[in-house]
Amino acid sequence: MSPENGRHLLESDATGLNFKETELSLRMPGETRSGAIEVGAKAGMKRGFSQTVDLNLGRSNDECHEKVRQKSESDGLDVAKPPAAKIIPENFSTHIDFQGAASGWPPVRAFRKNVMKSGKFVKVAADGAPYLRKVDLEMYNSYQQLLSVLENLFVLLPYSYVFPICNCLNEKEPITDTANGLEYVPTYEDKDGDWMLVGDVLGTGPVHVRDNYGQEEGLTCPTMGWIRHFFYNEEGSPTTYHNKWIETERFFRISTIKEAVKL
Amino acid sequence: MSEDDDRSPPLDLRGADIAESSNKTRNCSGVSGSGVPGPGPGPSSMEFQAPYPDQVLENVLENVLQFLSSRRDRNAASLVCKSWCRVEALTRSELFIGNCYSVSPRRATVRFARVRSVAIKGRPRFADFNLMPPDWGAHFAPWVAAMASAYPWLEKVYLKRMSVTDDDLAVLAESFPSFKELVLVCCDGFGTSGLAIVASKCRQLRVLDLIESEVADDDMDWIACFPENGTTCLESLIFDCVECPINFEALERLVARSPSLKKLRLNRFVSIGQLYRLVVRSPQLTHLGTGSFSAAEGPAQGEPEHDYLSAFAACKSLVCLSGFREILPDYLPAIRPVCANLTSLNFSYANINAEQLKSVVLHCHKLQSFWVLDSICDEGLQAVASTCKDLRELRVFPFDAREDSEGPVSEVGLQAISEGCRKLQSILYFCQHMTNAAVVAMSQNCPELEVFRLCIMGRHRPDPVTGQPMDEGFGAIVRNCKMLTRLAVSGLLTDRAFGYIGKYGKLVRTLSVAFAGDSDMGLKYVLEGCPRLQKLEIRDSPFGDAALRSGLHHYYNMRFLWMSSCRLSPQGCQGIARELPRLVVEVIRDEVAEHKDDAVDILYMYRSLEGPRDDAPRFVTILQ
Repeated sequence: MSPENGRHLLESDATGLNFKETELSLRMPGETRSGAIEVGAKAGMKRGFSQTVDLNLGRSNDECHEKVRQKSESDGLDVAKPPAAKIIPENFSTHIDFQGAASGWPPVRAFRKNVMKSGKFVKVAADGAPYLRKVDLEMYNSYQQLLSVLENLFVLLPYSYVFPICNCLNEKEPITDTANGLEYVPTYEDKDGDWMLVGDVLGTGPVHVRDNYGQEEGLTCPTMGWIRHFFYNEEGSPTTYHNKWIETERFFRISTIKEAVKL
Repeated sequence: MSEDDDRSPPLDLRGADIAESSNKTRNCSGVSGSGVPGPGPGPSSMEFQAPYPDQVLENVLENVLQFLSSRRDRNAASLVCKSWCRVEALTRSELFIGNCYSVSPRRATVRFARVRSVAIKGRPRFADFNLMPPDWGAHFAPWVAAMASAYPWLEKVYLKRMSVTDDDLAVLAESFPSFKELVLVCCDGFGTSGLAIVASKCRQLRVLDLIESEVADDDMDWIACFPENGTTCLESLIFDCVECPINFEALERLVARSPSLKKLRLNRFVSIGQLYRLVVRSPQLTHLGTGSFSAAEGPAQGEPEHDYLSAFAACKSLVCLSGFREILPDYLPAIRPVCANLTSLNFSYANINAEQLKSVVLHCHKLQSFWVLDSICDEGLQAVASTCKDLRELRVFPFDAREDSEGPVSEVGLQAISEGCRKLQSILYFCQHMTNAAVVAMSQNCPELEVFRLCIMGRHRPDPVTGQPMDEGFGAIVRNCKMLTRLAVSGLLTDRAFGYIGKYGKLVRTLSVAFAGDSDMGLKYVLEGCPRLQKLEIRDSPFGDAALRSGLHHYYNMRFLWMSSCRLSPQGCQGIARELPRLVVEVIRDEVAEHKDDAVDILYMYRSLEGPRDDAPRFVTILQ
């Protein structure tokens, strides 16, 4: 994905996107690249490689580090490219997904993992929202409760009906480009062709996170990937995220239970 | 060709064929399917020719070889000489294709003319864990097309990890009037429409087994498509993996008119009340998959509480029980009457605890195969160990299949099993906590182990008690279990572990490696040390081009090698491709990463008589 794609980008060419910042990597739970504790990092996520028994791996270790540095430097100019879901930890090019698990590990087939899910998840689509969410109906005792949860999931700001904010359930923070307030959240396309936010069903995620997202500013749905949220203030210029309630009529379409559980 | 053609007819009717065979070119692969001796133009018009000695020998051979059933024996026989090769080909009725790309459908059907049963395997196993993009290949279509013309008398098809479409199933249903058995394991690409065609057109169908396959929901009532009138020949109907509701009334009628039905495995959309109605009608069942084993959802139907206990008590022949997809543990006592006879019990979808398990398993003295979730904890495994002295196969699956999950089973459970189940032959064990000591104990207590697959879910985990790598444990397994043919390793492992495998694992055929090893030496030890190695699958391990080269002498003996996220370069893989022309070397790009560097994501290579396949998707590059 290069800036020459002809897309109208709101950010300047000088990247405000610190590519290294957005790149996932293997490290201690909650730690950022600089060593500080990262907001929203899930406690108890997998240990950094250095925490395991210290193996003398020789030169090859350093070579790999060098490769990682070179890669991120050369890619830094490529603004349009969303953060790659693939990371390069110390030794291996293990694919780490958004929730920090190595892809395909442990080796349990998807159908066996899926059937262990409890809960009655349904897909929820809100008119005007670019992607769908999943909620577990079993968690709520009344329609009112469900409705208030749904209103939390889809929040509209004025002038942003084209790109409404979607509030991440489970307090996951989107990855932010601090320079211009653009945010990234992981999404994927499920079997029905619906565009879903990753993570509503704990312990699951997209099967493949592909590296192609939003071709134009519209609601074209990427196959999978990271999408950007544009947040506008009243003057119509982008701003950082803030939560604001809107009195508005909302219509929620709820799909059938049967289709919702599978990812 | 008629069904009676399994035996070669007596000499005097083969005049026509004898004249043909006097031409001495006996090229095995050139033997055509039409070389079957038939009645010919009529006995009176045939000249009698004294059969030459070779022909006599061949006829004798044919009569003898048809009794050979093991394919390994047959493969050996076919190598003796061209005559044996041809005769063996004529008498082989079961065709096994371990890798669908190793040979073309045409070559296979030309060589083996009288096949009644075909088994074909496709995708590599690691594809099951989403390590490569879908649509890699392994299409059934060219096979069914070739077989449709070559094997009109085909009776059985067994497919594993193949892509099968509804159209393929339609061709199958329409091309083989004697078709009897369809078994699809880990397949995908078809839906209930395809099943409907098979159900309605295969009038001789005895076996329809769908095992761990993905079946699309086309809203087609396939159960109702079985012929409505008269009895069916059905002996086995397995559809527990089908993730869509079925027409229960139609199923009930089907079961009622299938007097030969022995194996019935229901999917989770069948409630326990419905199960009851089926079980009381078919007490002759030997294999039962119970479906959800829970009450139906939605408003209460006003069903009376059934006497499940009596229903199961009437099943005197039941030896294999599975299902329990959404189990309500209150119903568990109902299966008590059958426990004493059970040889196989699959609780791997049942979230039950140790107490609930004990109420059942303490009566299962004859159990030989047991699949279960780790929700039973070490305590549950101890109960199994104390009761199931005849246990041959154990699989413990994780309820919470994540790297950092709790892990309710550990070395304690493994130790108990090893002490109680001395006849254990096969184990698959997922855990978070495992010690070398317990693995060593198992190697000593269970000398008959053939399959040892241990998955310590946390990557690179050492022995938590000693802090050491898991080298010694796996070393003991390969050293002490002299019959070991399949091994899957995990935990923190250094090259030493692979040294052990290479030194002692002389019978190992299948090896699975993940997140293990230090250097190229690890892979070298294995490739140089294991002469029987056929299937090697490696992920996320530091093996590079030099290690790959060390297997050059052996790759033609293997079914495949898979290496993903290792240290291979395109040049290294290219080198292999150049030196081994009969090896198909596929470099598969995982589409996640845009690769500017030159690491190889996935290497998948296999021997083949056909060269590069022509159906490779765009993310596959075949090196030459």
